[in-house]
Amino acid sequence: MDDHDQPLLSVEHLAVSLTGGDVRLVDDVSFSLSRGEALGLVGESGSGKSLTLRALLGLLPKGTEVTSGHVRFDGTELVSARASELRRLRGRRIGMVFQDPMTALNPVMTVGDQIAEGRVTHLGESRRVARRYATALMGQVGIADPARRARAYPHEFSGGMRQRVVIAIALACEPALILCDEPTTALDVTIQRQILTILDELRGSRELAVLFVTHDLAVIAQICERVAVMYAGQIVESGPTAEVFASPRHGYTDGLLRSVPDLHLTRARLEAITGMPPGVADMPLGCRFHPRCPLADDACCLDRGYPLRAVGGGRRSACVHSERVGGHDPVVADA
Amino acid sequence: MPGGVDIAVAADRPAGGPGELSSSAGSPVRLRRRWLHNRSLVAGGTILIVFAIAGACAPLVAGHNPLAQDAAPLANPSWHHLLGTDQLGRDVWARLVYSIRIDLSVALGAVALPFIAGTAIGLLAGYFGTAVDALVMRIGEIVLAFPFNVLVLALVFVMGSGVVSVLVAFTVTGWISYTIIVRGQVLTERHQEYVLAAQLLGYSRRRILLRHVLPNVVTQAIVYAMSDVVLTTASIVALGFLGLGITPPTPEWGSMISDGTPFLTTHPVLAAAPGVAVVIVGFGLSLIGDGLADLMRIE
Repeated sequence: MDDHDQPLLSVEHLAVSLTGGDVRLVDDVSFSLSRGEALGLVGESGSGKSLTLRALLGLLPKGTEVTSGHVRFDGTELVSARASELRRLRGRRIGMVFQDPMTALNPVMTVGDQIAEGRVTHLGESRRVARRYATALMGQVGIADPARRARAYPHEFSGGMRQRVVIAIALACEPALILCDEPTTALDVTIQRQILTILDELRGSRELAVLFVTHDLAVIAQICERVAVMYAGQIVESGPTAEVFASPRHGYTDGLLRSVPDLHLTRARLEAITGMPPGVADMPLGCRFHPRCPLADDACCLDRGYPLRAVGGGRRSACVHSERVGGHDPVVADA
Repeated sequence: MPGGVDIAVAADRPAGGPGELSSSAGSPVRLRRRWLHNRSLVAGGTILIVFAIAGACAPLVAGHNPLAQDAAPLANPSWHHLLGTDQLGRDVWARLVYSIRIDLSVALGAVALPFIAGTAIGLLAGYFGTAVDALVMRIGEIVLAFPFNVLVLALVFVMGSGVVSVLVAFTVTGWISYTIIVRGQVLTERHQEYVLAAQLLGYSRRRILLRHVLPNVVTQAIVYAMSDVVLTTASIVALGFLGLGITPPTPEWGSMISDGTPFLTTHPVLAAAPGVAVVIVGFGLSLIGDGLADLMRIE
């Protein structure tokens, strides 16, 4: 990330807590994203990745709030921004693709109107011009016969087609960044692939930055150059995707990769990470992963923070034993 | 079933492929055809249109001045006076036709006003919730605790008869039903992802409420309004019958029935004719309500 001089989005020490409490749901999260770059934020349910995404747009669920940190988008500070300022960025400079295309569309509005709506409200275009743009965009995301389909309602589309519509809505105002919240989770695998290909092409042709939140490692491997792994509200490892997946430098990443089924390896049994993720109220002292980590020793449970540190090759890890990770099982070296 | 379910499998194939097209149920042409195929809607609509035209063209259809007391009182039906004359020598047919104007428009107003007020309040209460919501619902419960007709009677009695007080009375008592319906819908709709999506896309609250939430919640309220209008029409006629609604000598079915009752044994037409008119209008409105409810269910 040092080779990009001015990141489009930079998140520094972001923390999200329950209002009025001391419970940190997202803790000291930092990452940055340049124009045209794709970053994957990966972690299991409840690791705080979706919360991080919503914090960026200033739309946290009731009862949670940003307690510290900065989010800078194209020179604008978002955490302290006024609601009206945020609204101008949302949809216009930052698009969003949702997890479930079945519910993310308004059932009583034609898809063409839904795509055009952003251009009408944010860019002040006339409905007619905006509709024409919407039709063109539908063609770009791979919807056949867009002129006709623009007048149809969401219920007339299949899941994959709806997700294309959702992507078209996100792209309508030609944003610089789109946030994808598990955009392929609700789709079957062949459709997943098509959607990812579309996103990847758009990223190239529009210099679009993509922040991709998912629990699916395969999806990250397909589309993201860089990956950040989240566990219990913190980023525990980050770096170029290929290298992180080939030789993880944190016990959690290692465990995550081992728990992915692999058709080529005939391991007798799929490994699982032992234990459960900690609850937000009783975070373990020290490294939050240490109770489940096979490498854990006394150095892992000190009462201090375990921040990310550089481990070479543009990679960062929060693990004190980063160079020993993955060593106890040579089979995964080529995972 | 007229094309309720569409071929949603419209093929996830890349652009350029033939791409099967699902029939577009939303297109205006298809919609119109479905409306015209709904028998209840067509029958009810015809009845109402006939009445509306008769009311609008009352001077032509009536043939007499409904207020003129220039004929012999209590005349039997004849070519000159189709339904005879009442005890003051006014032409019954003319009064019947002119009544359409006042009865129908007051009934529509007495449904439209609570519909608008109730929907707006329900939308705001459901969307913003908390204190406003609680306050609105408590007030609504107080209104609901009184029997509807008693409350309308009391309000009209206090405010004095006349069109304005009838409309106010129906609005004050009727809004809560719409508020309850719309609020409940908004509460479920508010958490739908498309509403969150609209927020994340940076649309203003007003836009989200009016363009995204309202169209998704208003259907139920419309269906309710269509059944409400039947009862409201009957209530307005009942008010006239009790001498509380529209002030005489304005021709109005309720007061006509009331005026005709003393002569029920000798001249039954006086009370029966407006009664039959009320029944036919009510029947037509019910048919429209049924038809609309059918169509909305399909959507």
